[in-house]
Amino acid sequence: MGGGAFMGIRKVKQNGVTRTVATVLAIVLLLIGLSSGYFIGVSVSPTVVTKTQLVTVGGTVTERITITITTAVAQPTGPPLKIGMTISKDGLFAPLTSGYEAFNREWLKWVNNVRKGVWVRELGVRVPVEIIMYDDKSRPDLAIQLYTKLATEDNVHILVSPYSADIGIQLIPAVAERFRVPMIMAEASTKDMWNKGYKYIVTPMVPYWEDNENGWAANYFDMLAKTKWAKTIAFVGWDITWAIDTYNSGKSLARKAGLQIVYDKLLAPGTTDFSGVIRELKTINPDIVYLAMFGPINALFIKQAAEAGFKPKEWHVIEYGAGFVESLGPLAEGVTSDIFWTPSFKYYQSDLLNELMSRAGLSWVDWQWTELRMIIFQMIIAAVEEAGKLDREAINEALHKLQIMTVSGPLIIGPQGYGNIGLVTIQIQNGRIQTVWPPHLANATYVHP
Amino acid sequence: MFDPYFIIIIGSVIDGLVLGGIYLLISLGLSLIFGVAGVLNVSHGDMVMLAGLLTFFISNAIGLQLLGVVIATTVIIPLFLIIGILLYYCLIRPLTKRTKQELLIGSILITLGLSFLLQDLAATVFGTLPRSVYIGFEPINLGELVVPFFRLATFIIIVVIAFFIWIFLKYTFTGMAMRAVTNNREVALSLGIPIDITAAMTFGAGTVLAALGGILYLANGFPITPFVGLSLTVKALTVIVIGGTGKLTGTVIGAVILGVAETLTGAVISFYWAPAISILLLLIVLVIKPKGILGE
Amino acid sequence: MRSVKYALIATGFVFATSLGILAPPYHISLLTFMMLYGILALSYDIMGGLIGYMNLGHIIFYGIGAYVFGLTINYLHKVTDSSYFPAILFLAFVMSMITTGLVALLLSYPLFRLRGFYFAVASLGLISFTNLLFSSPELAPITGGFSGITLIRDIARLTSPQLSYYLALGFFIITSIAHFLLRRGRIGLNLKCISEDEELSEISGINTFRYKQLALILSAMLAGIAGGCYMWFQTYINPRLVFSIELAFLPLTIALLGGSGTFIGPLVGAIIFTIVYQFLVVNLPSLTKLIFGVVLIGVGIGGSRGLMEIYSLMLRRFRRQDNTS
Repeated sequence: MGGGAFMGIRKVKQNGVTRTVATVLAIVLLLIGLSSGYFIGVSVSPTVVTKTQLVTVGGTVTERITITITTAVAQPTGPPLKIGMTISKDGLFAPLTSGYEAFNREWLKWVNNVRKGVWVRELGVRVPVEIIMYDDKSRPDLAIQLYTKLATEDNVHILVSPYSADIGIQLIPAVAERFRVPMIMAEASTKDMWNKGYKYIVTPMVPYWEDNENGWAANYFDMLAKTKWAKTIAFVGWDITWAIDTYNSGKSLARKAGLQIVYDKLLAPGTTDFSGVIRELKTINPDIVYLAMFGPINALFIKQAAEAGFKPKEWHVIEYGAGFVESLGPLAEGVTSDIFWTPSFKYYQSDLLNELMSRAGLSWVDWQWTELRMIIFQMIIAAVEEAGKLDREAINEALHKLQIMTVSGPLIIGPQGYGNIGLVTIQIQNGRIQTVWPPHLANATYVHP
Repeated sequence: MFDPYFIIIIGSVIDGLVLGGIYLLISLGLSLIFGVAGVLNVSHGDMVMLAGLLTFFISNAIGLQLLGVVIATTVIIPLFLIIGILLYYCLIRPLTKRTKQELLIGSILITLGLSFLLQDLAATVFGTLPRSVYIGFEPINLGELVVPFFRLATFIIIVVIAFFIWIFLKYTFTGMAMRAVTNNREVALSLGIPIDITAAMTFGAGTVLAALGGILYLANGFPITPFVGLSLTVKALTVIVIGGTGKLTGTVIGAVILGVAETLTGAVISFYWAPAISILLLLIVLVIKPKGILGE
Repeated sequence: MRSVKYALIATGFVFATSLGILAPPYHISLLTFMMLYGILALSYDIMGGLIGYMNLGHIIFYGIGAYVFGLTINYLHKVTDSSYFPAILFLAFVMSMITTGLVALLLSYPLFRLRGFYFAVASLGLISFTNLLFSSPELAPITGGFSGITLIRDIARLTSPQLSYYLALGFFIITSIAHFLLRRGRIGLNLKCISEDEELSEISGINTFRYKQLALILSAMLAGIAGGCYMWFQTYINPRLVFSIELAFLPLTIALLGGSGTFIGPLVGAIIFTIVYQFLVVNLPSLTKLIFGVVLIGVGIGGSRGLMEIYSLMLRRFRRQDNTS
């Protein structure tokens, strides 16, 4: 077991290996050089850091400028209002948020060139708006790091939560409360976040986990109670935040509406083979099947059911999301769901929302939560102008006292931090999404057996 | 007439057989590659993924579901054959001069790297939405038992393919060469069998099998996202270990066991633990009979 | 020459310590991750590099360590209060170590009936199983199921980026020393023999099983402590963050990137990995995995000696004297 024998073997390996390892080393060193250059650059110039793909006003805007020069109003100047957020371009939440990049871009163009920025009383000018966006790949640990960066290095004034409540709930103590940055919870809102003494979060959404008129599918069950056509209902869902809340509140609301729950199956999140469940449902034959999972997964379930020859009298999904109507085709007919806004709404800036979405190339049929983002932008503008300064504390205070008109109607932020924007019931009719309940907002009649 | 619970069980067994069939194709590919080239191809599952996604987009472009899938298949088979062969020559061959241990580690790293590469590429090109295809034929009714049409068709297709593979391995020259190299490398070498070319062909054939598995997986309504690759590779590994490496019949048995175990566990115990059973089986077999149920 | 080496190590130590005070919060968190990756790579290397068993399931111990840490803190906080904070923290780390050590002990019996490829596959399979176990609704009352567990707010409030960093740094130093010592003397020699030729070692009278067991338990405990540190740092964990097959290859990659079998190698690998990863994630998020794929392919083709090979090669040429081969 002497050293010599081993040395010999090692040397033989060396020669063949050297060249390729050297190449790898060269590439890696190059990358290190680049990254240290980046870090140095960031720390030396403390003001605006422009993220190449994703930000500000700059070059995309030229054509607009020429048109607006003819009007008398000046371009926004002054230090920018910075909004920070992450989207997921990878992982579980990618299908549901990757479109926000385009939407943010279009909104930025509008707010800076058409609206001319945001009025800041203390500075006496209208300031431009900037959005800094990272990709969290649907991972909580990455999201925490990125939001920390947004709060401490990029120095944003406001944060917007990611889509996922699982991720959002970690960000609250780790970033918003610790660094005292106001954060608006977008789609990510669950029971566990509120009434915990957190000071820096708000959301426009109702507490949908309650089984009263705030409930996620409250309008749906109200409709069922009034039309009285269904007797039995089956519940299938993923045991994951948000879905489980809509599942439980749904069950409770169903009972209150006089329906009988004949099937109740919570599955592990990530399950995508439903053949067993479908088989069981076939024997039970419920009138309605309530699916509490993410949009694309609900679509999958319906497809697999069709293959197995099972079709309840009605499907209700808590989210339909990206590609639902397109991928299901005729199978989507008659499916009901819940949403915060549809183009038939005539509240404040609905037209603008329609226009921004079409410019961003987003069909509202596929990106059903974009209105939440729009509401949040409306909230941010109002809060900053109310606060009168680009200061986190002032903006936070203004957010907590907010009372404004949004695309989904009047919004009042309550003392707990959540708002009152609720959901209406929609149904897919002839490949189109129609609002069917409540009657004063409906633009089509509910079709049921 | 029949107790509904009984129907559910039978239904699950049938589902399991079809699922097992798909696993069989995928695992056979991996097993052949491992047996002949001594390489654990971590990106095998990503080949499944790529084939599936490609099929989705081709059939979408054409518009007709079943015809689209068929046309896609005719494109994919030669394409993946070439991909497999290229894979061998570019990435694996440089390693063949090393010890078996180094070859294993190196091949794992390289194919893992390839897997990551393919995942990101697929995500960029195809997007991250889960894709599946719905072939809308009427399900087949056997009394009270209902079988989705395409599942039955898949089962038949797989049996036919397995039969052809068996004939190929047993009676064609390349097939016999593959078996020879798997059984005893040195002897095969001394018999004048060109190991390099055989290994390349095996890579090609194995990748084609993975691709076929991917097409069938997609066409049966199972969703494919750019990230399913690794978990599929692990499933294929499980089948190989259960059945014994390098043996055709062993892989068949292993795949069937895995497929049926998964679906039955789902129906009887709980859908949550269905994927767990595959790993439990793997661990139990490894500890009790490491060479597999049919191993030497 | 040796004094130069010691001087370098001392400088490195002073530098690393001062970074904790000087660096801004975002960068401190990066550095903490760097240390954790370093520990993971080093502890993996005890099995993978020193004794030659590719334990793809290494991160199981990391995850278990993190969970046990969190559960211990939450439990202790319920029965006492935050005034006992330092003791609670200490106990939690101890519990992580003990639990992972025990798990490793138990696993050693079935696992070491396998070698090479089968060992790797089995350990890989264990990751998925552990993931399912920890996510399961049956165990959810303890493990928090799919959503995982969070450190109790009262304790989580007490964490600071500096504390996490210094803890990680401290554990990294301990792990380096352990790795270094294991390569020395009788034990080191025996480990090397086992990795080169196990049958021969067995015949020569080395109790291979005991040594393998020792390696596994040690590497598990170190990973477990790192896991506890991770939990302390993040204050949150769920099964997918630690029991994922993709992560399984991370310790292996970092160890090989820098050079397996040395104790500087994994550190170099960890540094490079962390910097490059952050750079990519922030600037080229869509291509991160792709670039890592390419790097992995490079490392795979390059062989298991990694960058340290280059370094020692350059050193040799520099010295010009040694032609030992």
